[in-house]
Amino acid sequence: MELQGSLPDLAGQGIVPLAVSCDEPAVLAAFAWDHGIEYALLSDRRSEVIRRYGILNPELAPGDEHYGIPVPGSYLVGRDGRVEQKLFHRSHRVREAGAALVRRVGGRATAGAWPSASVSSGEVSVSAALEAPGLRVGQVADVVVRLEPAPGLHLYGRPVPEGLHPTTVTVTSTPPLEVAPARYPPTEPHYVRGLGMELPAYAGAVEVVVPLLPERAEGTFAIEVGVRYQACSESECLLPRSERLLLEAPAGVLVPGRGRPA
Amino acid sequence: MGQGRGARRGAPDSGAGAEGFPTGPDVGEPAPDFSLVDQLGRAVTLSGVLRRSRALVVFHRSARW
Repeated sequence: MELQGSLPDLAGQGIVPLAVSCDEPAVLAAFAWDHGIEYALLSDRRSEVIRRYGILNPELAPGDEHYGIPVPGSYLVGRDGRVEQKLFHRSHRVREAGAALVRRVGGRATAGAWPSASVSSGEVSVSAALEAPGLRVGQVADVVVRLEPAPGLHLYGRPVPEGLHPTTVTVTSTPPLEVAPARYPPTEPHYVRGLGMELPAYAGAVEVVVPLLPERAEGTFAIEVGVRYQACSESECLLPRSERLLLEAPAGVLVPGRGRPA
Repeated sequence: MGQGRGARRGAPDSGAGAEGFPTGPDVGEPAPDFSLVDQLGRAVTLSGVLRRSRALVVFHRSARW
């Protein structure tokens, strides 16, 4: 859990984080001590709350060592007790970083403070944001690239026939740093009448995540995000476009109280 | 509501069950109340927290791995 570093942002929005797992209180106490965690780590030892929410991990059977763990995800609960937002990763095996949660829950609260850039062609708005105030050695920081097509337009994944361009994100940095492969969301088949064929399309906006792994921490990283896409309507495909966005990320930014990722 | 996909906000990751795994109550539905013990042995109740703030309830697999 990386929520510790996000506590001020959450507090500023009147949000109290409650982390629930089926660990014993002693395990949680040790973890909180090791990582300097000040928010509540709650012990749902018999997975009763996890069951009440209906999110018992379905991949494990009774008797399995880890039986009882939840599908990881989060709910923002309003003061009326109703779910305002829920955040479950498309792949439930992926650990959602605290920073990503806060960015989504808090909307623009942190976006101004962290490196971000955006551009719009009229057809598609493209934004890129680093999900951290800066880069630290040994800490993975995600670049999240969001493409938002205008109503009636779709963007495409892979594979597309020759001549069409799938949505592609590339990230480079000066000085160089290790860039993990981009994670694209799943596509849905979409029939384009004008082409007479089905294409792997994204439903609405597309969020592509590119993890960065800094190996040195001096100066400033100039992170260049290249985005290539082609938008299609029901009847035709527009010309492919390329955008370049620049993020300037300071190195060695200290995030108080944040431990290693668990 | 029910089996709907919640408020999608355009993000492909907020659907209920569309990914083939359960994601619990949808946007707009009540979050079940609970009372659990924290790392210091204090009882924490969701409804108690909601009397003064909103709550970000994060379910995670384990502090150990």
